[in-house]
Amino acid sequence: MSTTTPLGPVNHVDEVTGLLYIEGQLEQAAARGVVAHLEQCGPCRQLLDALKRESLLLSHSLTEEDEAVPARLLALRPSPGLSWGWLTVFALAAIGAYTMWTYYVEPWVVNLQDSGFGGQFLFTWLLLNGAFWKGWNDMLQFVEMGSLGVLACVLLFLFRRRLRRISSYSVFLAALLLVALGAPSAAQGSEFVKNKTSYEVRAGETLHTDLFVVASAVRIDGTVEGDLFCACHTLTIEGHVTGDVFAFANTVLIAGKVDGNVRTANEHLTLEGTVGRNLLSFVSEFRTTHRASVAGSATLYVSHMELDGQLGKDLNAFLGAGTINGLIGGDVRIHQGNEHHTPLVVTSVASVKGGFRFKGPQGPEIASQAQLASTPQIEIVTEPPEYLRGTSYRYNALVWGASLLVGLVLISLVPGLMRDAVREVARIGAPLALGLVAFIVMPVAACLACITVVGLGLGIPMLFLWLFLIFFGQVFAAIWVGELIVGASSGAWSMTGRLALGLLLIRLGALLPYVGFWVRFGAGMLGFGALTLLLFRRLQPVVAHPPAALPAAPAA
Amino acid sequence: MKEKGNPEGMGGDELAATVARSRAGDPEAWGDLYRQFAAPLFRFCRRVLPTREDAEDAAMDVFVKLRSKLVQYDPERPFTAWLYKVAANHCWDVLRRRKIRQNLETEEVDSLPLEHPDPGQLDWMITQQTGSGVRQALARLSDRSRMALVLRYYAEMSYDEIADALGLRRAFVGVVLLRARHELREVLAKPAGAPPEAAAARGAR
Repeated sequence: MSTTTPLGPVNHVDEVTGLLYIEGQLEQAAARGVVAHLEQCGPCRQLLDALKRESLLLSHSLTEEDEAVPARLLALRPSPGLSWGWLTVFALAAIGAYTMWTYYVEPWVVNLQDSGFGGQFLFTWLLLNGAFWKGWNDMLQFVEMGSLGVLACVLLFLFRRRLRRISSYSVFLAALLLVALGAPSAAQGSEFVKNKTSYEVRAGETLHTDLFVVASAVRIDGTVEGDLFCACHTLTIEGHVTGDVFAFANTVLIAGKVDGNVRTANEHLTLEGTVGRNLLSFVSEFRTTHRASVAGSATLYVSHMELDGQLGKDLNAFLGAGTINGLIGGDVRIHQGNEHHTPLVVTSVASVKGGFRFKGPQGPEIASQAQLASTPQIEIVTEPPEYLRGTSYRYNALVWGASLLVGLVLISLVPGLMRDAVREVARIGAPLALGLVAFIVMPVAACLACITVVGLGLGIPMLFLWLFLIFFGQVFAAIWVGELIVGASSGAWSMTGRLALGLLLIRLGALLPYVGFWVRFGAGMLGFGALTLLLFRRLQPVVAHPPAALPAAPAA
Repeated sequence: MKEKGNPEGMGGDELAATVARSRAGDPEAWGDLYRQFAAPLFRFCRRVLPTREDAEDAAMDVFVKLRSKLVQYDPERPFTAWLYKVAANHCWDVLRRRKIRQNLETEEVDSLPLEHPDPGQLDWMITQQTGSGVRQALARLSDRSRMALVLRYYAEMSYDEIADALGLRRAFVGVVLLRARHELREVLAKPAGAPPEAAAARGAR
C-alpha cells in the first residue's frame, strides 16, 4: 500500500504481511524489510500492535473457561464399540446363560409352574404381580403409573442424544415401557393392618377386599373375599379365604378353607382344612391331618413332613425326612437331602395314583400294603466327599470361568475402581466385617425400600447388586490373592492374570473338606465389603476438582 | 517439555510414552489420555459447533475415532495437532451433514481485497471487547473462518497444520486468518442479528 506522508510517499506494510510478521511466518529477508520499515513508520507500528492485541484477545476469548465441561463427558471413557474379541466373549456368555437356563433354571421353573405359578417367572411375579404391588388402592395405582411415566421421561431425557444414534436404547426403553404397561394392574381395593399385637376377622364377619396384615397373632374366623397377605408370628385360618394366602410366619394353621393357593415361608405349617388350588411352602415342619385336602399340587422345601389327607395332584418335595399316609392323585417326586439319614416312610394306608420317583442317600421304607400305581423308581445317591466328585470340579470350573469373565469385563470397563477395590480388600479386617454386615443389611434395606413406590427404584437395583456381589465378590479377593503371590499388577492384562490365578486358588480351596465353605464365603465377603466400602467412600461429597486446564497461552 | 496445546501436567516425553502405551492397547494409558484431553477437546468442539449438546456429542465421537485411529498416528508428529485435526475433520463433517455449512468448503480462497483498517479504530474496538462478546460473535462467522481462528488461537496449530486440516495451500492460511479477523470485526461492529458483510456477500454468490 502506498500513501502520502509529510516526508513523501512511503510503502506501508500491508495487513497480511503484518499478520504473518507478528505470527513469525515471514521469511527472514521479508521480516528484515518489515523491521526496517517499522523503525520509521508510526502508523504501521500502531497497526501491528493492534493486530498483536487482537491475537491476544482472540486467544484469551477462545481459551477462557466460560462453561463447565459436561459431567457425562468427564465421567465416561468411550470405546470404539464392540471388537471381535468382545463379540466372542458375549457370544460365549450367551451360550453359558442358555446352558444354565436349560439345565438348572428351567427345571425349577417347571416345578414352580406345577405348583401353581401359572407360567410366570417367580421374580417377575414377586416384584410386579405379587405381595409388593397387588392390592394397592386406586390412588397408589395412579401414583405408580405417574411414577413410571416420570421415570420414562427422565430416562428419555438422559438418553436423548444417544437415542438419536443408538437404536438399541430405543428398543430397550420401548421394551421397558411395554413391560411396565403390560404389568398386571393392582386389585381394586385392599385393607392394610399393621403393627398390631393381634388381629382377628371374627366369625360371621366378611371383608370384601384383599387383606394385608402385620401383627403378632392373626386369626381369620370369618371370610376374606380376596387375598390374604400376612407377616406375623402365628396365623390361624378357621374361616374362609376366597383368594390366595401368602404367609411369612412362625406358625401357620389352616383349619378352614382357602379357595386359592397357599404360599408360605415359615417354621411350622399345619393343614387341617382345604386348599382349593396349590401349595408351596418353605417350612421346617409340615403336617397335614387326615381331614386335610389340597386340590392342586404341593411343592415343599421341608425338613420334616407328615403327609396325610388328600392331595389332588403332584407332590414335589425336597425333604429331610417324613411320612406319607394320605392319598396323592398325581406323581410323587421326592429328593432327599444327602445329609439326612432317616428314611422316608410310605405307610400301608398311603395311595399314589401316579408315578413314584425317589432320589436320596437311602431308599424309602414302603409298606407292602401301600397302593402305588406304578413301580417306584428309586435312585440311591451316595455322594462322596465334595473333592472326589466330578460334578464339583465341573461346577467350580464353571464358576471360575464366569467369575473370570465378569472380572475381565470389570477390569476393562472400570480399571480404576478395580484397583481401588483390591486396595480395600488388602485391609482384610474392615472389608470382611463390613461385608458380613452388608450381606445381612442390604437385602433387608432393599426389601424395606421396595415397600414404597419411590423406593422401588432404589430397592430393586440394591437387590441386584446384592445378588451380583454374592456371586462375584470373590473377583476382588481373587485379584488380591493373585497379587500376594506374584506381586502387584501393573496393567489390565497383568491384573487379569492375577485374577485367574487367585480365582483358581479360591475354587481349589472351596473343594477342601470342612474349610471349603469358609474359603468361598470369606472370599465373597471380602470382595463384598471392599466394594461396599469403596462405593461408600466414592459417594461421599468431595470438593470438586477443576476440569482439565485449557490450552496454553497462544504464541504471540 | 510440554507439548503445545497440551495443557495439563503431562510433559512431552510423558505424553509420548502414554500415547505409545495406548497404541499398544493399554486401557489405562488410554484412560490417562482421555482424562487429559476430554475438557480441551470439548471446548474445541464447543467453539466450532453451534450448541453445547452438539459439542458434547462431537467430543464423545471424536474420542471414539481417536481410539480407533490411534494405530495410524505418526509418533513423529505432535500428538495434540493430530488430535485437533481429527476433531476438526469431525466437526467439519458434522456441519456438512447439517447442511448449515456454507459454500466456503471449497479450496478456493476469496481473493477480494480487504479494506485496510484504521489502526486507531481497530485499537479502540479491541479495547471495547470482552471474551464473551468475542465468543458470541465467533458463532456468527462463516464455518471456515471460525474453524481457522479456533485452530490457530485455541489449538495453537502451525500454519502447516492448519493448511492440512482445512485442505488449503499453506500460502493461503494467512489470508484465511486475516479474512476471518475481518469478518469478526464486522460482526463486532454491528448489532447482533445482522450478518457480516463478507459472509453475506459470499452467501449471495
